[in-house]
Amino acid sequence: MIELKGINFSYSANRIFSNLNLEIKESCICSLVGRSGIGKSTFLYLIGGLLKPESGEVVVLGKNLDKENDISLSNYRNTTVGFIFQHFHLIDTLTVKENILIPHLFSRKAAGKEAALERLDMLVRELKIEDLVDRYPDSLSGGERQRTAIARALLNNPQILLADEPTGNLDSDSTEKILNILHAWQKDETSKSGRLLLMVTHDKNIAGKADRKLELSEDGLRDIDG
Amino acid sequence: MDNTSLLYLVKRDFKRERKRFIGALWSIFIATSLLFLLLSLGLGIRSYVIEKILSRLPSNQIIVRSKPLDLMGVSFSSSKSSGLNNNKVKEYESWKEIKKVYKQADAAFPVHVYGKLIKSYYGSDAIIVGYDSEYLASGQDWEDKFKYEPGKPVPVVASSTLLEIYNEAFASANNLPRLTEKDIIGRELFLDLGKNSLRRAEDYSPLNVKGVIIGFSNISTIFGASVPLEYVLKWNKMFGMKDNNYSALILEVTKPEYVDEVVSRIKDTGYRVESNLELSRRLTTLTRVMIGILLILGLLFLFLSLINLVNIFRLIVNERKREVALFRSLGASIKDIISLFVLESALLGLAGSIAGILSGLVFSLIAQKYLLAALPSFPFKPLYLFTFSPLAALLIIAGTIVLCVISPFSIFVKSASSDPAKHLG
Repeated sequence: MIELKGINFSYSANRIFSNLNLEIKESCICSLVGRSGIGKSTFLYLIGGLLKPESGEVVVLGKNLDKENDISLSNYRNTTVGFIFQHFHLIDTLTVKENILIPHLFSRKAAGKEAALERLDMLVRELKIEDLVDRYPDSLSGGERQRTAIARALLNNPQILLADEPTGNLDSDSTEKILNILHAWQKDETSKSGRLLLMVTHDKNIAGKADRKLELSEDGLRDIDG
Repeated sequence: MDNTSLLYLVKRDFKRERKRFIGALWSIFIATSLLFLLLSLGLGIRSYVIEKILSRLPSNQIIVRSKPLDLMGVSFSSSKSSGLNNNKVKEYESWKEIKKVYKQADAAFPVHVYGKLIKSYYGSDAIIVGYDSEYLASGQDWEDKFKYEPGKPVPVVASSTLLEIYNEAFASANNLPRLTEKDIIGRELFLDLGKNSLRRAEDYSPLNVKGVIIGFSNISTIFGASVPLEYVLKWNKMFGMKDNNYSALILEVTKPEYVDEVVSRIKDTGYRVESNLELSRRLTTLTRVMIGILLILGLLFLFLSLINLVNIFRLIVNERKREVALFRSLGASIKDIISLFVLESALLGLAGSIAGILSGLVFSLIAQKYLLAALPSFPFKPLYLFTFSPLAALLIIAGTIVLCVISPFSIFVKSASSDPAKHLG
């Protein structure tokens, strides 16, 4: 599903990745651990097409992201991948419903608003936030906010979910619930082509529950045992 | 992003940023209002100049005079030595560029004119100018009366400008009634030829001649009486002039584009030449400069409002870095983000300029009404101060929209293409 070949990447003069390679062939839950500042988020953004490597190739579902133009990459971010952030990144002036519908605003698919609203109804029911749709983010708990962010990431039914410490700001009860939601999404058998959950985390317990566990260090990326 | 989504986001931003956008709107509104006001004033001045002055000056006419300046008919020497005689007329008539030559002769002797006006007799030293009937009377109601008929009262044409000066300056200052052309036409007046309040002709006894005012003209001499040419030629002979020289020849060229060439040729032969075209050009240039100054002043206000707009967008864009990055991560393209900002600034320009023009229009109409009412009567007092041009209004609206988009455009591009990863943490 994902292939990274010889990736080199720097932020200003700071080298982040040197000859980074990775291959994820099948749909799975994949966790990524590593110390702060090592480049875990950068790794997700490279796969999400938000950053371009200096050299090397990022191939996702057969698409070489380096060769895509801005419109094509935007379309890819809108339909193929979904982002979940540690700080949720909800817009305070929009209601829960409006926040969830943001990806629909940038959708280039022919499906209209009706379809997006149907999908929204289904997601808020599944994520148990149907009573919160008209509320604003500042009146929600951390868990509710993250569930809203997950609903937003899943609105356009992506095949890959890129989660950057999705439970980093949550208490243990909310963490459990969010992880259950994400695991259930990945294991959903109705998905024909398979789903990939790539999750950055600091928590070794969370990382341990993944099908594949990766560690990012100064030496590069390596698989680690459970 | 489709148009519905774009409008949804713009509506949301206008709601959220309403205080800042009202600030931007206010400055665009004031600037376009002042710009429209100043431009309308400039166009008003231009219309006034064209209507009051340039329209009275046929552009295909050239006046040729002898070199020494002839002041108020006091100089005797000018016509004597002018060389503007029938031979000269024939010469000019032979030029292919010249369609017609009209003759003008100024009285070479002192004149005093008097007549009954209202209930009293009024008199004044004046000049008498003789014109070719064809030149002065052609197309006028009184055309058939403006001719040489010995034994009858001399037909006199007065200046429309003189009547205006009387009404707006003299009558109001001396508490006299205003007069119309109708009040004056048909009135008798008397010409004392050969004497005025300053001097008396040496070679001939003064002669009193009866005249009648038959009409008014824009092109007749302002401070005097215009009569058929033959009278002045006859009187000049009586007062000692031996030859039949004219004071001026008025040349009508076949096409206005020949004016410069003809003027140059005549100047080379030592004559003084006045061309309406040259005067028109000078006045047109002056008017253009004035409009240009007013326009620059208006554009300066617009420039200041654009600086304000750019600063407001710089603040907004700076605060929305994280939001823009989020939009990019959720599928917005660089073009989508730029379109959003461009539409917002264009709508500000559109709303601000339309409101500005409407207020400029209302304000100038009010200002015109009160200023004209407050101004005392004076000759050539304008009837209006502002001229409103729909084209100018449309140009201001279109220009403001374009400038509102162009000025902060680099900020929009920078924001849309900045690294989203940097702002998402």
